[in-house]
Amino acid sequence: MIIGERKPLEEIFDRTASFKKILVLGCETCVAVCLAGGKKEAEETASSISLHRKEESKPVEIKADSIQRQCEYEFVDEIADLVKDYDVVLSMACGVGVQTLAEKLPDKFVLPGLNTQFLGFPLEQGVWMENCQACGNCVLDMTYGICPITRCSKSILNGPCGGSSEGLCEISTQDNEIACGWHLIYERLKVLGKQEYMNEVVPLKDWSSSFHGGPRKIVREDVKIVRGE
Amino acid sequence: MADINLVTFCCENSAFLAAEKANMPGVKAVKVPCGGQIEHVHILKAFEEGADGVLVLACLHENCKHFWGNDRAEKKVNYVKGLLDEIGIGSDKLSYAPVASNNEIKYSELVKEMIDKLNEKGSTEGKVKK
Repeated sequence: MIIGERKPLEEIFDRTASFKKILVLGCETCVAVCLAGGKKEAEETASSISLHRKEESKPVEIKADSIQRQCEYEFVDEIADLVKDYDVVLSMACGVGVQTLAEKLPDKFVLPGLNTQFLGFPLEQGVWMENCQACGNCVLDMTYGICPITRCSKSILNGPCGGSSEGLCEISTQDNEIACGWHLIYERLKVLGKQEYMNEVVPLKDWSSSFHGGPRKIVREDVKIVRGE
Repeated sequence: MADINLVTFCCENSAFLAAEKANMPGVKAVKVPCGGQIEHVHILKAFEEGADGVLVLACLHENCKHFWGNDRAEKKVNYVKGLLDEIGIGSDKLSYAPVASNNEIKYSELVKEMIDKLNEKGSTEGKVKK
């Protein structure tokens, strides 16, 4: 899922300072699960803005609400009437949600309340870890379920490199130990009884599907709805 | 002291029983099913509605009926303290403490301590007077 983190309140206060009517809109999918941008967090942020404005003696009309997904037009339609009463929407969704709102609400200011961080998973309660960079050309079949693009700091396809020591990457520090992705791959193969797979040479990766060619788009003619047909 | 609005969020299994026995006039004791059930927004809403200070009071260490409710309450309070600093209210207007159900003396002391601190600081800027 998409992992986000609320922006520092100071930044939010600063960016919303000129608005008198603010709608703080949560998103109940990925960012709600990572406890950054669901309804609870939207209410918390709205309350913080309201209190700050009272401290500054600059009253604000503020409301917190949420929709199931800000990244789909169908769900954004649900709040079309509500947003008319506000000068700005502070979106607690990921960058995808913010941009979908902006696209759907062209005459409304839409601001981000989160810093979208990465695609990842909850390692344990309160800890989230990146494990996919959406490179567009998955190599997990060649590395047996552990992504070297994300988990190896150099994203090398034939590892480990000389910087791997006792299972840790050379960029590890005392406070931030980073597992060597290729060590993890080796350990996984050991469990599967297939260490010899480490000898396979993974060919050069086709990066043309990655971000370097600008925003990517997928078109599926079989599921497109053509009006009038 | 009469002008200070103090809200205490109290676990119904411990601090709320102490609050009932202490019966302190002018102090709003809010009963919660467990310290861990208190959300950040509940504390912020108390300030929004005019509280000058908030105390979150839960069970003694390792004495929570729900195992970690008191530990979670303390962590949440620490998080909200950070928010209050960012907002400009100041983290010293919020405090966490464990209180046993039969210790109304400790409850009264914590309340008096907070009220004294708030009296020194003055009431919350721009709060809605009721």
